[in-house]
Amino acid sequence: MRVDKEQISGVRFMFTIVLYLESSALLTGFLIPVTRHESWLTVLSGLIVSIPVIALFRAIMLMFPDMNLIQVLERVFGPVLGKVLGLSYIWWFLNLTSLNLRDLGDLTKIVILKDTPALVLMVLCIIVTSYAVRYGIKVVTWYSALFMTLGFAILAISVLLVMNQIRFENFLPVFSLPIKKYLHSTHMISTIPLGELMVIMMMTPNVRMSRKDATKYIFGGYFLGGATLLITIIRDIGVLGPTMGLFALPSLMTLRLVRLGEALSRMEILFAIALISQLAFKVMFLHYISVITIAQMFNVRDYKRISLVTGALVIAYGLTLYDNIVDHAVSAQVFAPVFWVIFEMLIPLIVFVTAKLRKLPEIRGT
Amino acid sequence: MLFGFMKRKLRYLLSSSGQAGAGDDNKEKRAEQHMPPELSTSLDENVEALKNELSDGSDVKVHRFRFGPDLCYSGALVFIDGMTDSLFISEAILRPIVSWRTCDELPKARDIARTVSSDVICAGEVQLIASVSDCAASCLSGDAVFFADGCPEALQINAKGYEKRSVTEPASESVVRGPREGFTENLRTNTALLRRKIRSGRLRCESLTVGKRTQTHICLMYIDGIADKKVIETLKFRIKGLDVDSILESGYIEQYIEDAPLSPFSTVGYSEKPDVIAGRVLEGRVAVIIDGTPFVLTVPMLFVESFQTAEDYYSRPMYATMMRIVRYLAYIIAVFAPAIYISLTSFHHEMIPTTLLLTIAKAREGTPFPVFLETFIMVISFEILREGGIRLPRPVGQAISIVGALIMGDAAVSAGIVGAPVVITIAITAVASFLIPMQNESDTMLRLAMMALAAFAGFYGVAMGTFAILIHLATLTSFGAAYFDGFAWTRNLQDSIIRMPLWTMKRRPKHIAKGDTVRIKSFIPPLRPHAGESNRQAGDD
Repeated sequence: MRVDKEQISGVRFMFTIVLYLESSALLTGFLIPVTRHESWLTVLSGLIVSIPVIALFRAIMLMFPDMNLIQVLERVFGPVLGKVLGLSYIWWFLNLTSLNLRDLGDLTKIVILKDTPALVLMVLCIIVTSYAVRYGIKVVTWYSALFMTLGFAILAISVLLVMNQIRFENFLPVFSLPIKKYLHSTHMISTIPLGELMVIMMMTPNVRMSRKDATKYIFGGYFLGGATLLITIIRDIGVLGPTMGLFALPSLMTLRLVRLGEALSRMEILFAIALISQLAFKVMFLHYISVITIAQMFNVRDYKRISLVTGALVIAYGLTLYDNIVDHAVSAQVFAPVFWVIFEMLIPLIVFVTAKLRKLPEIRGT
Repeated sequence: MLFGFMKRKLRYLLSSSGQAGAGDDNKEKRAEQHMPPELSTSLDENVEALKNELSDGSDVKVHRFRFGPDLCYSGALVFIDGMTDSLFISEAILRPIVSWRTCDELPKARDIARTVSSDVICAGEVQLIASVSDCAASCLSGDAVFFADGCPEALQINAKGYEKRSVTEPASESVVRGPREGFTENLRTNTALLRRKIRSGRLRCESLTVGKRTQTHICLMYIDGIADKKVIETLKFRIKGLDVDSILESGYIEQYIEDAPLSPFSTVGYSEKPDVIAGRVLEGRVAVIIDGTPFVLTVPMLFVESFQTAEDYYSRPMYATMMRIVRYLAYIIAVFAPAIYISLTSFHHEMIPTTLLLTIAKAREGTPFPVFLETFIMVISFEILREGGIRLPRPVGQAISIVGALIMGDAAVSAGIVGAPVVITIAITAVASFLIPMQNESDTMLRLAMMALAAFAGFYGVAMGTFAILIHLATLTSFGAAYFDGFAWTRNLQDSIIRMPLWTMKRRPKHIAKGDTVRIKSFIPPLRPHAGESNRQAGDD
């Protein structure tokens, strides 16, 4: 049973990947305390290290071209183990959605609405995303090209605006930290923003593309998005330098420092636009993924009906996740990278190996 | 959203009950008309039956006369006064019939109608009919009906000649450059205006009749081989499925056939100008011309169409592009300006430059209401003024605008009831909203929604509202075409926010035209008039 029968084009799929990574680039605060001004090195190494992981996702997508992850799990591990793993993925997707929603609420509170409770902002967002999720993948990914372009434009403008403040000394000294720190940071990069891309395995049957295109679009999206992440980090380090570790939102601080004459100063409005458009897109996308995962798991024929309920669940879960943004960052540094490996790399790897050993699928799709 | 579900449920319930009702009506109708009354051979009976069918109206004229060699036949001509051309009736119908004196062989009484139609009268459009209801229908549409004694058939002779407005410049869409003719209330004039623009045999014109009581004639016009067959079928299905009392204006049809009846955005396009409609028909759209209104509908409609005007294609591309961008900006201002003002003044003081902030604070000092209420009052009073200006007779309308806008606005500010910045914001909004007449309904409604969201959660609320509008636009379709096409991805961009030079628009818009999609086969590059073959190829690329 296919939950959502609509299909999107491969190009739009690529834009979705880019936008997903772009939105992760907004929240780099948690990375900085570990490797500080050398974080750009670890972003680079993270991008390289993650290539095989993305290749693994691609391999699974191509192996079962008309099944989403839940169906693949049941196909590979049989009904019982498959269901158990499927349930754990439901939790994981909900967790991911809640985290991003919580981020959206907290950051909006910091950036533009200081006195409004985050709950109100989260509810407002979920109402809108539930509305989109009801209309399926086409509507959810409709604006990926627009928002991606907007994101690129904002990045380009911001780089130009802070060009006069970038100090090369801020990148020095290089390789001054113990090797363990670099490993830790690389690991964080490859699990938190990049490994999250495993959500694309949930939309395999909804993408219309050939085998050859799959490589092009997945890696094209991955590198475009990764480049955004890298440029953002380099820009922030170049402007802020060693003080960077002090801020929860380095990008916001960078834009706040813009000073080009009288007219062009305090451009944090750019950050606010990027934040709301990209993070809301990400929440919408993850909300959609959670809804179809639940619908697939429990054979809900009409997934539209559970979109608002799932949204409520996401809000409730999101509120109880962390006490504050520092707590969140610490958890992202210490707890998440280790734990998320299970979902992002271990299970997909086992799926891949088992499928190879069991010689699945019997009839290879084109 | 919950409302979406409720909406759909409501729509379902409405449509199912509507269908059930329609079914009952049909049964009744069938019971009434179990045997269509045929014409008899008696002249008197036929005339009486027809007069009865027309409720013996005082405007029904019956002219009896004797005719034929030795005046051996008697006949009658029935028509409705005022809907026929009396000169035509006397010259082209009555004169030949009455002066018909000679013939080789007297026709039998049964065939008299045929003989009259083929040998005697000189009218262009004559038809034999055999039932009383057909006779009544033709009288009602302005034809004359000829009966002869002893003949069970009647002649329907086209003698339409009612008063109609001549072709004038449309009031709703005036142009600086371009044709000044506009459609009229007469269906045939309108189809002719369109045919004069597109002199192609492939321009099809299909007639339908809708409305149980009004019997309104509707014409679908499209170019065979360019228009999408599915769209035509859907359109016909939806129009033929209508069993309603009356169709008085194209707005009636629009509401019955559109894809999203409860959306603030209209998904059916309209225009009053033949050149605009011709342009759309040439892009593969279907025009729906309705008798009795100068507004012609076109489907499918895209959102970008609201921002296109006829003059865009007649003026220089760069200028047209600029004007289009101005129109989009105006639309954004019309929807968002009051909301942004509310968010800035009540939530985000830090985003306003300090001098401006001080000015606003000074102007707002002493005004009694919160910003939202103040803006809301001003928006509503503007709507009142506008409505007053439109509906009232022109001389009074001007008085309204002077008293309302100038005196009241100035007095309200100087008395300190509203701040001057609010008046400025609302004035800009009002002017901007006039730039896009096609989206006037949507921007008025969305403006209020955005203001409420801004009062609730500042820029975040506005952003989420915008998000919801964008999502809503993405879900809309118009007869199978995605309504918001042209923004999601790069197709059709040549004629959306920008207007590329005409020679770059080589293909008709995707998703609208089917079949022959090539618009320009070859052209000589306009850049170098004396260049040779090689440049022609370069231009084609």
